[in-house]
Amino acid sequence: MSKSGSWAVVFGGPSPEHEISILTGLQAERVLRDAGHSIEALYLAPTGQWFQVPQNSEAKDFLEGAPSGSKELVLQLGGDPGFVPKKGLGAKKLDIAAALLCFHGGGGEGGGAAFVFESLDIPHTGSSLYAGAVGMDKLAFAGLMQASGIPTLERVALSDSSEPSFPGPYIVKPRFGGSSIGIEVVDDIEAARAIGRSSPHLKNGAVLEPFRSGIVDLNISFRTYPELELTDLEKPLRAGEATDGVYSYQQKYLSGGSEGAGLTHAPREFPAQVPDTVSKAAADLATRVAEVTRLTGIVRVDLLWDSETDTVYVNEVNTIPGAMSLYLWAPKRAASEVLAGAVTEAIERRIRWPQPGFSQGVALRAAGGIAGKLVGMN
Amino acid sequence: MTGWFDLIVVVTILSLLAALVLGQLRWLRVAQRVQYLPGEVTRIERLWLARRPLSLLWWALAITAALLGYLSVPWSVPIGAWLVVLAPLIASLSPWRMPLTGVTKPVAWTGRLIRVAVVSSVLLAAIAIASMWWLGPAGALAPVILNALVMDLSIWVLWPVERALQKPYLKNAQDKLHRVDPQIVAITGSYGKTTAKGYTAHILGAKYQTMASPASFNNLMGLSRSINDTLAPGTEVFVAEMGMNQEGRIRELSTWFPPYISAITVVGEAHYERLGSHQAIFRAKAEITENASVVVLPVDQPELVQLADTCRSRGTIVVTVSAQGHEADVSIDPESGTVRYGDSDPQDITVPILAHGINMAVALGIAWALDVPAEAALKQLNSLPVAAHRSEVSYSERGVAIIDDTYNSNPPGALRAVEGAKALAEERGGTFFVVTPGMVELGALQRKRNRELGRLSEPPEVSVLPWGLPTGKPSWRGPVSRPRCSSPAMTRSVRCSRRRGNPTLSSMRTICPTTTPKHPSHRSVPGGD
Repeated sequence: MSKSGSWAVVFGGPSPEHEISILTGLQAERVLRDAGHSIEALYLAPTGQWFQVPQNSEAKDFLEGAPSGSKELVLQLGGDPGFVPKKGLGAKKLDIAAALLCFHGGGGEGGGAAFVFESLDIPHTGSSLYAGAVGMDKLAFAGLMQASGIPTLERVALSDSSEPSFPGPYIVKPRFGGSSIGIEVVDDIEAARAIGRSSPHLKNGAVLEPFRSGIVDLNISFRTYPELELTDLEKPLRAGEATDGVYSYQQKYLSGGSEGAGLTHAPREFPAQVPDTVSKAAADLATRVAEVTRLTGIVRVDLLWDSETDTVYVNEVNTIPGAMSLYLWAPKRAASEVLAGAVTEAIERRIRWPQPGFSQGVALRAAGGIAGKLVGMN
Repeated sequence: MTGWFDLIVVVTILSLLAALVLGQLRWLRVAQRVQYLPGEVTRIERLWLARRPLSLLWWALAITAALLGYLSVPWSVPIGAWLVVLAPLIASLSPWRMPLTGVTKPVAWTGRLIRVAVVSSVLLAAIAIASMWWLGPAGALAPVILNALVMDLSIWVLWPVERALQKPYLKNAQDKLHRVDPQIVAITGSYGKTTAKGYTAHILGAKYQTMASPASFNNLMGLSRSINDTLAPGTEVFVAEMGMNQEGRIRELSTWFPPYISAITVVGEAHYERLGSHQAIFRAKAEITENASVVVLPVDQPELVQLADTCRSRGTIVVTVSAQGHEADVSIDPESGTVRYGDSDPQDITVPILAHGINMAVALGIAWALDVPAEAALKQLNSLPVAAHRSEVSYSERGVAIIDDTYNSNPPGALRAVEGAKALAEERGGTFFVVTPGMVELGALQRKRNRELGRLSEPPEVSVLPWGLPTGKPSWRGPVSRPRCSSPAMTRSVRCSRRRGNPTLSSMRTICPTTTPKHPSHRSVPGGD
């Protein structure tokens, strides 16, 4: 593997959060380039086409697809994997030393992109296929929390045949998906089922949680390089019409006024004004989440604090958080240090899985003829 | 023959070349502008000759010069013979004052334009050689006068070639459609189709992964391009706008991209000049129903009611809609401000209905056909998108409300836009300016429709600032005001209209200056389409 090469910042991808991913990617590209790193910006369009986009592209350049001046790439798997320009005589494979994955939602954040880059033999951030997948499956994640004894709110699959174990009102969330898109609050199970059938975000699976109006959102970020480190707690504020009591996609990403939309400028209280016990509990929970999920790089853990019972719950985890949570790191670490750290971690602590050579052909030699294996099957 | 004659031949050829370069630039741009429709270049030429009679005079002068020169040669009058040299240059002054470069849109040197340029240049050279062989230097006039006709001829000759070149793109688009396999919803109409497309995609989004063909990409290549470039895997419904400027076009589009559901918004007067009659426009629009399984039709127009019957007798499922409270599957009643969606009880809607009624009704009809639940569909009405340049309201830093309606191309839409803007001006308590060249391409109806628009824009409520189209005077028929204030916002707005507005459409901007902006961002107003 070439140690030279540029770092790739990779963003876009088929997901409802496609546009937010573009913002995160362009932000990361600037941060790393300004810090003196050689950066390639790679964009995955919703159509599935890969592009090498011009340096320092702006968000609006993506309004009608890849910016003008982009070069389409072919993703080549097989014996000599890599990104190859589609056009141009004798086009050479891009020399990429490592990739910072900035996908949000969809297969990009859910471990799919991690597997693609593993197949490309390019070290990458964004954890492993398995860790990413658990982070993206809200039901599996809640199960993992419960199995590990980490406090979390009840969460069940929305089902046509069985009733939830707790009474309404409910929050209905897409089971797979990383953001607040598609979240609805309903009074009873019938309404939840109706919405589950009609909403394009819930059709592929939905989970139910009890809706608690007094509960407070708290966010914290951890990184795993050079060693496990946590940020302060953040309390996102529900600006504007918080009529349904859910921190919506609109509030999260599209508010921010003159400074521009995006998570970086969303209204928040930071550090959150909470009792020390809450801060301590949150830090402890985030550490346990890091251990039990085996997520790496930069991760955001979303917590819920019930001030009446003074309990902190783990709500969900963002394996590739919006804006890479750089706004949470700002008081402690420079943005370039955090991002470069994640890429360095990807290169130095590459996750390796046992390969076929491991069994040394023992099973193949012992197998004999395949016909013998079919005896008694028909 | 003597040496001076050879010299005349050489100089004539040079002047011919100069005249042809100018002519080619001019007519190639027109060819691109009329989307390479055979016969359109000469139609535009006839339009200019009719509007600018001076053009004919230049031709007459050029012919006289060539004739005198031709007659002078046998009489050996060198001075007279030199007149022949001037003939091509004089002829190239016609059409008088037609710009060489685009006023609103620069010419784009696409592969197709280059092919037309090459073929037309070869044809012109052939004509020049033949006519000069026959008539001597005087023959140089023929290719200059025939330039527009040659352009049309080249487009016609190249037609099969272009179709063959487009095939791979069409094939790609078709393959991709098969791969992604969305339901295709096709919308046409004399106007409102872009808005209706936006509404439909928005309402269907409540239940399906929906994609709409971007902007006004509504012809064969435009749709292919939007499918090739933007149709994402996982798309469940693809909403396509289908446009036409000739009979047969929509039939062709729906053969390539067969719609599951097709809808017509309105049969109106756009393209009246080109198609010639309301019946022809109706026939052209009705083609969209031929290939569809489900057809959504407004029953507010008698001919569409009839079309609904025709479709039913063919075995097509018909979903009827109305924006006037008529009995239909989806019916919007502007009087009571309610909507009935299928069997559900009438429900109140809070958005302004009048202007967008038919587009809303059609979009809801399509949603109903695709089983979007009533609650989800009606909820979407509160956040309908506004199409760009269609009653788009922005505010200048000095608080002037600028309503951009430059892409509005139809008489009822223009009337509604003025009504809506009037209401906004009243609400804000400011003066209301209309900046428009008037409406064009309406054939025999043009004068009448412009007069109707003029009647709605009488002072003192409204000040009208008409500006000329490249073909000369505005087609506006109504009161005209001198600007009473020369605010920079207004000047800029007029300049912007000139730059962005499509002069083949009616371009309209309305400005309501007041001191403070009430609404800091874009907002839709009742009016326009």
